[in-house]
Amino acid sequence: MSGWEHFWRAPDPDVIAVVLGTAVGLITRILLLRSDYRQYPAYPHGRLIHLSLGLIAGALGALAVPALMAEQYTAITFLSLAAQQFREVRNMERNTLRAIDGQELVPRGDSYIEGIAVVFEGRNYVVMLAAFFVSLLSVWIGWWAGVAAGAAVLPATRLLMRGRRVADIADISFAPVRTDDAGVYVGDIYMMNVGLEADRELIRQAGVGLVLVPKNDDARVTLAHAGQRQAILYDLSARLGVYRDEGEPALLPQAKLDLATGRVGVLALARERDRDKVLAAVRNVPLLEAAVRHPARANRKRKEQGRWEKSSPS
Amino acid sequence: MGKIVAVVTVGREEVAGGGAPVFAAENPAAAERMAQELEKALDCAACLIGGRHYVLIDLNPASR
Repeated sequence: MSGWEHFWRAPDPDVIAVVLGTAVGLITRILLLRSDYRQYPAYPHGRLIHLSLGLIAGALGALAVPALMAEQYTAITFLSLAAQQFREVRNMERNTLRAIDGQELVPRGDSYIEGIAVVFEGRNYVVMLAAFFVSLLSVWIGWWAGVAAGAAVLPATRLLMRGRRVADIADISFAPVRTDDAGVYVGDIYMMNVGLEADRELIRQAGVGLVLVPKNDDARVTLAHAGQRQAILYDLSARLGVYRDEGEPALLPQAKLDLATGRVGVLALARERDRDKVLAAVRNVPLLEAAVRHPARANRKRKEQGRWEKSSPS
Repeated sequence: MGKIVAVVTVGREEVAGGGAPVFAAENPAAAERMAQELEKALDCAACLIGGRHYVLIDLNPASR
């Protein structure tokens, strides 16, 4: 025997599948773990935790295929074990964020925290599925099919996990912030009572007023959700900075509903007041899973009539 | 729901009943100053009711 074959043996196809699947899983997790304006998880340790879990999720998904091929059906129980772990991730995120939220000048609110926690759990399943898929094709067809599947899966996961944003359901426009005696208004929407002239002067100077007009009846319900409005305020404050401190309760940003029309008035006291940046900040606020509802679809008139016709004797 | 923590007023005769301490001021300027000082001290929003009574309200954000 001569040449490099002496040192190198072609690895087992199963090993290639597992390595490929795990690698794609880990890369998926890295791509989904963007540290963005919400600055979470921007800490090295937070990142390390999620990358490690992503690696484990990828390895589990990738390992399942060769195990099943070898008729080791107990491998499925490992997947359920993984699901248990990922639920733990959701608890961890929820507890951490809730603990931090008490000290935020503008809190996220529980709905937003739930939303973030669910996303953290969900992304691990995405990683597992991606790894499973890549590993499956790699075992069935060949390593090159696994590589091709990986290349297709990576952009797909980003697209699928993007979610909808406020800009999808509402038209956003600027509105003047004005005061009338103690009342503070954004456009014609009443926001709050501010008793002190000094505070009103500050609000007139630093206040940014926006009006969100829902595009349809479903959007109206979503925007009316208090958690969704708190999420808007949090994102605005995180991206534009806050003009606020403890002991300044009058300077709390507000999002109030105009009951008659379903419009939402937003008053933020921002450091950054560039109109494009403000608009971009509001447009990109994610829609919370807890707030999205489709009453219009459930109440569709035609269905109602159809049922009525069916049940009525003719 | 907000909770009234204190009341500052120039119209002492228009404020009755209990629960929160009432601070009587001699003139509107003194009332505004007292309300401002109380707002900072109590971390409670000063709202102007009826044009002459300052009510300090603990807005109690949900997550605290």
